Amino acid sequence: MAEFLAQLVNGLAIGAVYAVVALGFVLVFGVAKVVNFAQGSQVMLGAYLVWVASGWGLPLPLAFLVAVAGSVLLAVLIELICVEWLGESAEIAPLLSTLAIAFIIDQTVRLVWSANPQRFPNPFAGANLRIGPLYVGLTDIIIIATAVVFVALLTVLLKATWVGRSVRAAAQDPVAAQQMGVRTGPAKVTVFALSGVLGALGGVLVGMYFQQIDPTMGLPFGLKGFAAAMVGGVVSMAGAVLGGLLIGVAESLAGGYIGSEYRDLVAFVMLLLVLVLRPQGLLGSRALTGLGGSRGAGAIPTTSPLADASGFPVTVMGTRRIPVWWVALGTVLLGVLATTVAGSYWSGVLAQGAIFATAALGLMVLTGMTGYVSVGHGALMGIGAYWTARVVTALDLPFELVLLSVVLVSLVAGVLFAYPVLGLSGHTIALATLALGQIGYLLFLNLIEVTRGPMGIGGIAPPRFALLGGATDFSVAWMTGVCFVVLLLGLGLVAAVTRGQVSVNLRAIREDRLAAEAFGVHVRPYLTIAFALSSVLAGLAGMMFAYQQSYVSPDSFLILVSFLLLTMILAGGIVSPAGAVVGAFVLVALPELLREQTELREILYGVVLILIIRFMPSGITSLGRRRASSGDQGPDGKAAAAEPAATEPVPGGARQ
Amino acid sequence: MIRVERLRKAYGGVTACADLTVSIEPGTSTAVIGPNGAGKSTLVQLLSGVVRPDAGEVYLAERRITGLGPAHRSALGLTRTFQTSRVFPGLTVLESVMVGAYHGVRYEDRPFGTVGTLGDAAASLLGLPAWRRRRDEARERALAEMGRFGDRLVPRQDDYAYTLSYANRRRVEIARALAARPKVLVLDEPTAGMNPTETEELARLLADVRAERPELTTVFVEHKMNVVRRLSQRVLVMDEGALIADDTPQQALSDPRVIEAYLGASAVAKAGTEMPSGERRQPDRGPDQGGPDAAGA
Repeated sequence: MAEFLAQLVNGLAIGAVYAVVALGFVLVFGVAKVVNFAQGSQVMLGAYLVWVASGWGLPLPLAFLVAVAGSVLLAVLIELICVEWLGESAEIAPLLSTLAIAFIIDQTVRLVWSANPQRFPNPFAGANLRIGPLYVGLTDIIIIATAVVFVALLTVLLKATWVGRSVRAAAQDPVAAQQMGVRTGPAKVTVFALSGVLGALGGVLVGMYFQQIDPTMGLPFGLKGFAAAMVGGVVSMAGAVLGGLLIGVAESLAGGYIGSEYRDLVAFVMLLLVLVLRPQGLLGSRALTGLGGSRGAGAIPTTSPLADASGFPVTVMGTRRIPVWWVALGTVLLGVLATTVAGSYWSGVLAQGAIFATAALGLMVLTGMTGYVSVGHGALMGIGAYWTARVVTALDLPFELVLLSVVLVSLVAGVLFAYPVLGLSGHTIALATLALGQIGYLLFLNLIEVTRGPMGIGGIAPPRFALLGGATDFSVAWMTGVCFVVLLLGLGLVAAVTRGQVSVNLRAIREDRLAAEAFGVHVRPYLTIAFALSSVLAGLAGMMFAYQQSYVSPDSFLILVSFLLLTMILAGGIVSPAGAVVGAFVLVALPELLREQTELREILYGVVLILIIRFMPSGITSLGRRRASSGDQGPDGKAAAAEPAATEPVPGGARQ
Repeated sequence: MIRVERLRKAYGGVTACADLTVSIEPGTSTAVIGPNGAGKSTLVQLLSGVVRPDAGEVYLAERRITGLGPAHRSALGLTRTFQTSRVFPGLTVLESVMVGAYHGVRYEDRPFGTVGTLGDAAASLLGLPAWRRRRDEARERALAEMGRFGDRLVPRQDDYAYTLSYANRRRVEIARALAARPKVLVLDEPTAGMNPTETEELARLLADVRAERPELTTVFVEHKMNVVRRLSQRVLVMDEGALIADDTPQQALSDPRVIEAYLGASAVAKAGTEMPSGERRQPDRGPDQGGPDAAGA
């Protein structure tokens, strides 16, 4: 019993931290309708700023104030870039740009203060309080108390002050709030600033809890904050707190009673359960449109994350502009160059390009065609890679059988991956896939019997072709050649998709899921097909990754990989096979020019992504073409469509 | 052909559909009218399966379809259009219409079901002859339905739908619905936002379709009373979720309860005493131009 209570208090302490992160996320999402993926990085940076200020000899409360100042500045900067500067683009833009900023922050911190963990000052470390038979860490109590005080202050601020009222008005109905004289712009800055305060607070609490900080801790804490917010129901502050505490306690109990390796998985498994069983979250309401899930009789908002802020679908170009066979021809030429003329270094780089091009094609099939943004494709790639590593090292299968088995395994993985995501819409899709990606990574790391954990699996022999009489070769050119052949196979699959009804149906779902359903498109199976095909391409890429590196480890399938793939297809123009391939080769080759500084590479990806979103929303392959955003349409398009929508009856006002 | 029994749907405290029981005969054309908030659109959503009822049943050709989703109902031959046109903006005009046409063809071949959907997708991916035949047939149907609108749609078949004018979007939507070759066609305000010429053109086209396919059952929500008179054999008048009149167009539009629902009790008094056949209170003008519904048309 005492053990259980101790675990409970410990869980509440870390849960309070998650609740703080989740609150920052919910506030920003509620008012600015932006999923701020940088929230976790703000926490990490907050912790570092406290650490730095403590290093100047400041006591912890003063150091915290320094961190608040820095974190608020950063949050406002994020608002300026992701909301003000990119606000007119599709909703996917702020989503990806905050992700890009998260990577930029993480890598900058790593550059400045090194990747090594730092000791965080905690004056209460080791002190225990005795309550009856129970010993409780003083740190835990202080964390819980601090979080309670801040949540109370935040509640007072939002409920009892004019700043708070205007922020809440802006969250509930920005247009009406504007009509009543609320300036929604400052409201957005306010919530970002508040999220900065909460970020710094989260940072100091996390630091006190673990007494150690490092530059990679932002992502896991951000993810758990999102998980907490979604478990609670995204648009509700009480839900965020409840979700945070639930996850904290569940984690602590799982760590104490099941095994510490399952500790991190708990949050995401809880999230998946909630998404499947109650997608609106524990305290959320299906009627709320915060995530586009309204079920009224009137206008039903588009479910596509490729829609712009007003809910009008941003038209992405069709898939036919650059024929797939041109891309195939280019691939063959590049493959010939890579296996003959190129030296072994560049041959290897081009092989990597071909691998990532295959995976990017997979993501294009999903995100480009259906509008479902996946930030978890790294996990699908990892499944293909680990499967290959196991069957090649253990069974020494020929390439043909490996290929076939990877296709089958990836199909299954894709269907499983799709299942929790299908019923979701808008930003929740990105969050759910992010959680799936992280689950994948944690499984690779912790299923030691299968994956050998952090050690990874090495000694993977190069492909051996049974049909060619067991032909195999250890040369770089051979491997590069196979990578290009697999890319061609991938292009063949994409050609089959884009040629037929599958592509039309998937794009119809992307443009208007409800209308597609009403005209006979069987939406859920079709989305599952898209996920499965996408997973096959990612799995094939993973297979070649395992062969080419002859070694796989969990670190190859971090969320970063998923992010990189998204950057590639966005650089190429989301819906274009040519774009995915060109984007992949460019983004693999570009950082080779900076190969001395690997940290700069990820910063470069982030900056490239933001610039592309701002200046080339249809990608590099659309250079010189007219921008196809809804803003250009004039009276024929958006205006005409918006007018009758205004008179649309909304029975019951259930959605207000 | 289509029948609802004690159908009920409430949004919060507002009853959008109050124990509605209606049976619609095959091959007829029925108009649903009523003031704003009467529950007309909710009825369309309930018929097409976009919204599930709180209670009651929906039958299509004596088959209970209450629990089925929109795609399944479309496979059984019930197709609808939307009040605000929902074309697929990022698909070309031909592709948009083909979505309706293709599924029409496909569900004539095989019943609705996950296995059939997967099989169809596989046929498309592999380029099998069965798929080619469906595609060609669908293309033919799509072009034929687009051809009904003269040179409005056919020359624009390769344009993205978002480039179309408002009236053309509506035409695309109607072509897409007709191309599915439905048994029951539910139109939610087909002429909304159209000017008188365009309205007249569309009314003539729908009349032609009815003449050409006498077996087609049509249910449409409409505010323009000239269109109602012209296209319907029967008018259902709804108010506050309930049916207040069910009659021929002539009878229904002069029913005092209907005028009251549209214009208020005093109007009935006036219509009854001062201007029994006065030109201001002619029902076909009243709701259309002066009634509370003018804003919704």
